[in-house]
Amino acid sequence: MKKVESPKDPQITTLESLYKHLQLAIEVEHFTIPPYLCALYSIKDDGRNRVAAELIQSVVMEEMLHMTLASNILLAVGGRPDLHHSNFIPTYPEHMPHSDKKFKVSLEKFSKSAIKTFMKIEKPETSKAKPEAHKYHTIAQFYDAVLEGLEYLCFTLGPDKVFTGKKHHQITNKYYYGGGGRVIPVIDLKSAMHAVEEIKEQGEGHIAGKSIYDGDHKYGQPREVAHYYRFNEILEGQFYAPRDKPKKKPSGETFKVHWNSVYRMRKNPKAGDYDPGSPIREKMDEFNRSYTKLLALLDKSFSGHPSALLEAVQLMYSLKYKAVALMKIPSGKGNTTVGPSFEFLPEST
Amino acid sequence: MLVTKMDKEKFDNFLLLSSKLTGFPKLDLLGTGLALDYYDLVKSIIGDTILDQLYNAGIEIFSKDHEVTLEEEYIRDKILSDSKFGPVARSMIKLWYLGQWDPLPAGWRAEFGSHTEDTGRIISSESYQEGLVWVAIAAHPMGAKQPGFGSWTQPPQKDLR
Repeated sequence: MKKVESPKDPQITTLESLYKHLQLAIEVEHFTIPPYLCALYSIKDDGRNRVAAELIQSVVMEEMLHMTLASNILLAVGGRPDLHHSNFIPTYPEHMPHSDKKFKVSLEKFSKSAIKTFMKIEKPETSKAKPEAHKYHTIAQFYDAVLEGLEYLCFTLGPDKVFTGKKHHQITNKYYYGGGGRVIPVIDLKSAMHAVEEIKEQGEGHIAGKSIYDGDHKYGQPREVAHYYRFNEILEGQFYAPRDKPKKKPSGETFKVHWNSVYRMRKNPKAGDYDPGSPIREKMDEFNRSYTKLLALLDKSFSGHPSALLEAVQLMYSLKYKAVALMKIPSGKGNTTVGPSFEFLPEST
Repeated sequence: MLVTKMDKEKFDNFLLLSSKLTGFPKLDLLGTGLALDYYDLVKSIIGDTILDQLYNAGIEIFSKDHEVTLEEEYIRDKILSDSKFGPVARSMIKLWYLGQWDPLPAGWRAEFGSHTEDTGRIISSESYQEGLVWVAIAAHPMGAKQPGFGSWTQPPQKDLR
């Protein structure tokens, strides 16, 4: 095994800080999911935007995988992911958690501007970028800081004092299926590094800024371009060809994007926009209760009951059908439709 | 497209009528994304006049809140038992529940006119998937809206939407 070296000047130097940052990592990964889902579910099921929908779906699935991987790392170092609390869900439009606050992300329908925002989220780090635990510019910088923290703690405390989590709490492929790649159970520094690499590469590319590809061929997935480039393919209506360079436009096969074959979901809807008891409010509340229940189930799955994930996945499906129905219901405001608002609403309320 | 105010009003009447005939709230019908398609279809088959008459046959009970049993009795008496409205209402119920149009009986057509659209068929793949029957029986349309691995180990969910 490679000798563990202490990174110079790490930003995460205690286990508590590591827990905090891994919890934040889960929140950062989750942050992207509602906006991506709104874009995806707003695409009409008429087959005209099949390629764009599949590209977005592949990205969302990988974000869900990243959430799971981040949770696995947190579990491995003896922490406990916390997904079921009101602050877990952002109030969109919102900046990425802990980021340098350069842009806000909205819940909105599939559009050019939405895809451009998604590209900002997935922007590759520059090769000179330093690890950044606070006010990071790219997600990779943030993960680099987490990785450095892990290395530092393993060096100073010894790996046995860092990886204290129970192995059977890890989410494995037994519970996780059909979603964006292989789950890596995390038991030591090596597997933790593996998990972080997978997250970084799927988002930004195998060698950030130098290659358009993610490293998925290493994780039992077909070779794919990284998220940033997948979104650019949608924007350009053209796939990348094998030897395309990150800074150049894609030169592969073209496909049509029908920007208008979309449900006109109102931007950043809120249940509170409608009176309690009104039919639309009830539908929105119903969605939000289900979404909150899903977070509760994920919280349970990620905290020692991995088998709860199977039930969570079923809820994800039914949530999709609820969201799509909301996409079709007129909002009563202009010619827009209601759309899902992704708000925290526990069962008893 | 609903352009004029009158169009919108008539569409809304169709929704209310559909809601009373199917027992599903208007918003659920809108949530299928098919309400406008179904409105156009029914209108083209039976014509504006009969659709208006059908709505008016129920308006007395539709416009006010009544007990469900009273409403059902009224619908059975004034709509389903009527020789003109009954067959249309039955086809509309099947349309919403099954996503398919059940042609009107020959007798009805002889008396009230026939239309080329009045043929038995599944309207679209979407109409099959959005059939209310799946919600009513707490199941999913075979081949679509998959509920996820292992869902058969759970009791049916009351609400699949």
